[in-house]
Amino acid sequence: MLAELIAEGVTLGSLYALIAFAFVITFRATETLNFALGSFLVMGGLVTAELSVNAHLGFWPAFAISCALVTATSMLIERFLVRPMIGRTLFVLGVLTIGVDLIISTLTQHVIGDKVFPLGDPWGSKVLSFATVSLPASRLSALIVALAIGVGFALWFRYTTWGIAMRAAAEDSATAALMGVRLGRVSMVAWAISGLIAGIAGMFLSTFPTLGADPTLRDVAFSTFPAAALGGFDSTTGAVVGGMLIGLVTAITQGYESHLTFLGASLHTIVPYVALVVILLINPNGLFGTREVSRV
Amino acid sequence: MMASIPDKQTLAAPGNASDPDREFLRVENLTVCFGGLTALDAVSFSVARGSIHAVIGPNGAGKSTLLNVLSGFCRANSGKATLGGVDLIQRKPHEVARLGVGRTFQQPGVFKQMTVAENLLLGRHTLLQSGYVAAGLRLPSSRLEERAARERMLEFAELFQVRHVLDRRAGQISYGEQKRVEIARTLLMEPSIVLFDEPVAGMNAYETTEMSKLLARLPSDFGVTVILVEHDIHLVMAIATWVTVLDFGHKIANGPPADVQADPVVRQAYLGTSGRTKDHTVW
Repeated sequence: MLAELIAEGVTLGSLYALIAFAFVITFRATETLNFALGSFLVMGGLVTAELSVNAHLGFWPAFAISCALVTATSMLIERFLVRPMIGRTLFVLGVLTIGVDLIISTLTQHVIGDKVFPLGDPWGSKVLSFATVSLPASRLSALIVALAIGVGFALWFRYTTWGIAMRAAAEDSATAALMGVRLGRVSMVAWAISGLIAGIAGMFLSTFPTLGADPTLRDVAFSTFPAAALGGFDSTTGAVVGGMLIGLVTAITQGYESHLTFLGASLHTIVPYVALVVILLINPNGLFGTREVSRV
Repeated sequence: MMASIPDKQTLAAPGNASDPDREFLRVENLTVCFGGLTALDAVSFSVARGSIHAVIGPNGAGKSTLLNVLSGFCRANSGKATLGGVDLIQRKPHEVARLGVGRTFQQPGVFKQMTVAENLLLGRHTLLQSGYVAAGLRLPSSRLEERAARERMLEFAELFQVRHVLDRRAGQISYGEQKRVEIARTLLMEPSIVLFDEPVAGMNAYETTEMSKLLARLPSDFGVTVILVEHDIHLVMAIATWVTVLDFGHKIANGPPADVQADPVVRQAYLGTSGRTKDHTVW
């Protein structure tokens, strides 16, 4: 039982880590907490489902278009809302993204209503078994893709001059500009990457065991904010570790909560926040963070 | 507040006719105000190509403001600054950098979280052609460019004696090393002019001597023109080929070091009217 929960936790955690990473990268580049990430996830799932099943485009083209759309949305937000506001407080930019989140989720809610949109994805409800552990094929693919994305970006940040330029801009934007780094382009690329990752994560979160794209996906983003905060808002390593941790804690709690009925039926939904509070009490910068996000 | 003072304008005018190398950098009637404070008041001077041009003056004279305007960090209210005939004013910092203007800071502007090698590679950033996508996909064109950048970086690390700390984080190396990394990085950008903001601030005597030797070699070895903002008068007198003195946003002297040193107006600005301070040995 525990082995299976851990496996489930790791796969779920890898998706949380991706979302937390998407959250951290825009924070580092533009000092913006992007609360619209939740609606990006819903968009990623919904657009894939809509185009794949209802428009008969087939899963992969639908997924590609969906990713492009979420990426474009993220870039538009950067260009027209975030960039003109650069230098304002965390608070102003945060409220702005909450507004965007409300708009996108109202639109998607309108489309979805109380229906569930299956994705028509190639994994279906296949379950793979390894000894005592069985895992949905979709979750295993999600884990592999998340790993590939994580390693890919880690290498890109580490070894390419563009990656180095982005890290430089995050550490000290004025000096980076003197090196000829275009700050506007850095922030645009950060938001594009963030949107792309949210699109991918949104699709995977809508696959089995989830029934399809539905608006509650937005809540997933809210349980990854603790993941980002836990790791330290400005640390990509922290995002990965935090995401994994939250995934594991959630899966394990969910597995055992039938034995803990006195704590209520959906303990796993609050566990991420409990973990967050405990860790931030011990270390206010998060596990890997270098600066405290100022309290508003 | 359009304070264009006619007599200063005519003072600057004869320069129009002279050759471009003598007026490689040309600052004309540059005025910068912060609120009610005029940090630079119609300042004009020119910098010859290949010279070491010091800008000195007491605290609050406007030296840092001058550097900030030239590197695009701060806007000018009026006036012009051109480098080789190209306008520098009202451009963003990255554009100024791409026009060949390098700058170093008083506190070494190294990225402390990144390794020395990464800091140096950043100097090649503007010279790379391939974009994010090509770099991300490791296309052959971008790989070749990155390899060339790396080779040049190693060359400079050797030259500035920081090869042995390439893989350390820049925050962990000594102050002098950080300064050398910053200068190496700036020169890796292949600038035509470098603005130095107090390069020996916080250095001991030995480090100061080493730095002044290094600075003196820059025009001949790297073909760069140097603008030097510095408080260390010994250093300025030893290596500068030309000196401009600012005081309260005004240019009060401009000439070869010996002339400026003998100028009574400069002495007064530095030492006050009495002329009896502990600092008088400096002069």
